Amino acid sequence: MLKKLLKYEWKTASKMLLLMHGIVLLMAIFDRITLQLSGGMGESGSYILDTVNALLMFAMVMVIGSVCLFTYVYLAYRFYKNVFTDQGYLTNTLPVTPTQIILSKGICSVVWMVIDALVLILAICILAGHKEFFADLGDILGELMKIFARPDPTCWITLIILILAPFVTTIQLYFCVAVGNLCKIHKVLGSIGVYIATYIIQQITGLIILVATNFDPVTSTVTTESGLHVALSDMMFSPMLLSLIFSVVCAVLFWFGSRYIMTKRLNLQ
Amino acid sequence: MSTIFECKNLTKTYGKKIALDHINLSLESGRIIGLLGPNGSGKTTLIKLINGLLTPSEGTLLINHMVPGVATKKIVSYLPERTYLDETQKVSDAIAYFADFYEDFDPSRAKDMLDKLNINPSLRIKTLSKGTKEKVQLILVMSRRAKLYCLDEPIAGVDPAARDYILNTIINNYEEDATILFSTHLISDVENILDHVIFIQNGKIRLQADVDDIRFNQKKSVDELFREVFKC
Repeated sequence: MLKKLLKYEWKTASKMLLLMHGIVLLMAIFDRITLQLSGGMGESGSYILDTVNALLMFAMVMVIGSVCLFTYVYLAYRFYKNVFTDQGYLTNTLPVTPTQIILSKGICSVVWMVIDALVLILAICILAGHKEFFADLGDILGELMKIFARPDPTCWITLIILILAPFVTTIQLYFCVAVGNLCKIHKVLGSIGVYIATYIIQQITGLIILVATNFDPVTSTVTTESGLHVALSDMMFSPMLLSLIFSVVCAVLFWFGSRYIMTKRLNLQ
Repeated sequence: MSTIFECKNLTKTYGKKIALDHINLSLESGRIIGLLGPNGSGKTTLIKLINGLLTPSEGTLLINHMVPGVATKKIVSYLPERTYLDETQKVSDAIAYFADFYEDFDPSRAKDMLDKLNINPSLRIKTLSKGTKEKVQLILVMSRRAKLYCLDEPIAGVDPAARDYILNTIINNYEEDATILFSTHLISDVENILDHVIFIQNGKIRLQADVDDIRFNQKKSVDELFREVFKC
């Protein structure tokens, strides 16, 4: 049944998201062509062309930002609409468990968050891509590979946090929607309120972790290249490890909270 | 006949409002049962509890001796009083969706009914009229070979001619050993198809009787009895 749920979720959610991300890429291509034909940003020799280029670049930044935000809001909205509005009368009477419903929507959401990030990177590459840019990018990637090749736990913890991020964000969004729906009225407003509250708690906890582990970025400056890495790595180990543990604890709480509400406190009125 | 549904001390409250108040009920399979009562009497709440869309505040309910869950959802076919389909879908997509999730769904039966009503399966649901959407939902629900059909106000929003069609669809498409729980306040339209009635008011069962008993022993129609019980 999970496979079937995933199939329908992917089919329905992807229509809108494919369109939005397609627009980002098309706009990036259009901007790049315009920049190329006009000789580059601020180098066209024409005031009008430079202004048009600047406006197009501004529009591009706005579109990228909006699509990123839209993706997150849309994925949370789909969960809300499918589970807690009129469509919930069908979703919640299918012969499937609440766990399968959360998993199917969650997997789809995580995949789209990754696609969203990849489209953003691709759009930047299209816009800014030239020989030196790709050479620099290659160097950065090479350095990153070297760092991860070392037996350095801080790097691996950072990587795990990055990989976990879309999972934690997704289940946090679902938890906020589920808790918001316990409100008698203004359920959407309730969900937004819960999101703000959980976000503030996460930020404060992050700050407490940094203070508790005596993290001080000013005193970390070390002269040699390898020395700098070692010093930063040592200093970052404790805060990163605690952040990872906190992320996992949050994800587990959000998961069981959402599941509990859908199983024991579902009240479609 | 076996018991398809039973509840003990079933209570549902919304804040301070009591929607169902310690209801005890047992329904046998193979019957068409009318859940009758004025608006706000608790009919929809009871049906939602059966379908797991609400959780009881107190008491227990069993469907085919099981608590509401995946196993009961496999045997209960539910028609809510609102459009629950994804309106961006085509009618044919909705049929495929039901066929995918419900093992007891018969697509050929659904297609036959759509043909008889001249509903084009390639139309998007959002382009259909309110009445046609209700008919599509009824067709989907009645195309399942379920053990318990819960139909919440299936004739409330349609014209009298469509009501006849809907009632005929219900009578002609349910399995003989299945039970239909039919909520409505339009008694005169449905009383000819009912075997048993439950009168509900303010969350309490006011009366429960076989229709034959009402007709032959009490010499009344269900409509007359309803007006008598719920006299303002």
